[in-house]
Amino acid sequence: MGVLPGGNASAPRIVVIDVQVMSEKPRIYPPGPSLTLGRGGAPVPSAASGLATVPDDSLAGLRTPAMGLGLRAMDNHGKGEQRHPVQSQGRDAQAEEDERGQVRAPEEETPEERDARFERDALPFLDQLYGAALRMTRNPDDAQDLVQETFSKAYAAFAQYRPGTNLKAWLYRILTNTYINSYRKKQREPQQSDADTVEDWQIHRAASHTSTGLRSAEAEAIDALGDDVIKDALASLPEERRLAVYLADVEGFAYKEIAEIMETPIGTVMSRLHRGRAQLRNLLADHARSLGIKVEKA
Amino acid sequence: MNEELRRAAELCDCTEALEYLCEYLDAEMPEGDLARLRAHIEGCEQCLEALASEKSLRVVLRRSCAEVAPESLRLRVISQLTTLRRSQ
Repeated sequence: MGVLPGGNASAPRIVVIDVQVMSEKPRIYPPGPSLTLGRGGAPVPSAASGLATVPDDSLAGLRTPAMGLGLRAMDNHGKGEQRHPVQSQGRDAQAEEDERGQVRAPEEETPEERDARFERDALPFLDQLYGAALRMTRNPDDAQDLVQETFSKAYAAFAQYRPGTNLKAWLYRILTNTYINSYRKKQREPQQSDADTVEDWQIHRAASHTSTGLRSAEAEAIDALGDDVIKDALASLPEERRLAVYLADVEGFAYKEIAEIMETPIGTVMSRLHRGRAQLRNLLADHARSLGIKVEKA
Repeated sequence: MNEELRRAAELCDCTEALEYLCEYLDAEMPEGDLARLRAHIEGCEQCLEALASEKSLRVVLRRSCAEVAPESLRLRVISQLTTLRRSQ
């Protein structure tokens, strides 16, 4: 297998990687077209090779054409069976619409109308963004500052947001960029080298689920834990896993959306999710055991 | 279950179902594969248990991470937007 962009911060962010990663296994489920392909399939040139290198004030990337297109419905937290996989046709259709100018903000919209639209559409995400900011910063004061800065940037860039696309994902991307650029440095969290290489995960994944043990007992034990225990366990995960798990399991973002928000290939998102969830489950099962809740050792 | 799906289910074993449990639960695979895994999982006690465990983790996460922003933050954001608007 060749060098995969996922594990290498300096590699170009052109992502056909998913197919390549998966091709070693006969049974694979490629996660669909990459978000980093622009209209007409041309790779979107990007100087940024990772979140850490995105300029603080750069909002240009927020206009990525594919952002929010063809993504699954945001309110669908049902997970699993009810959800429909991403359909690429939807994205193409919407891109066409875009070229006809039909999904752009109406040109005749006054600044006042746009302000009203921002307050009406963006402000309702305050609670959710604060929740995400808390998971990122692990500190209420920083979380509040981060959310305020996010709204400030979102307001400034709102003319670039295309109505009809995924506003929530757009806001989360600003939040994530702002966190990476302003707060992570401040918090002096040691820069975690991305140990979640996709190759390792591919080798690891097959073995990870074969020992199921008494999964139902584990599920019940975890379910009985308090919210603070769950939050502490999540907070103890390495940042990138923590964020991926949060975005997927709490916010219900699709892999493609998470890839877009975290500016990372989908294969890396999947790797972080697998590892993060497994780590979290182990932490919680250990905790349950330490409380005397009966959990079979897997 | 129709005949075609039943045959498909037979082609899916626990190893595959457990390996792709996350993608299954996230509905991040083609519809045909989802149906194939579903056909197996629904008839397999071990896979159903694993699925329940995987689901429970997400349920507790969503439950425990729900936050309400402090009212002071809401006011800060609104007042900041007012300031930004005036300075335009």
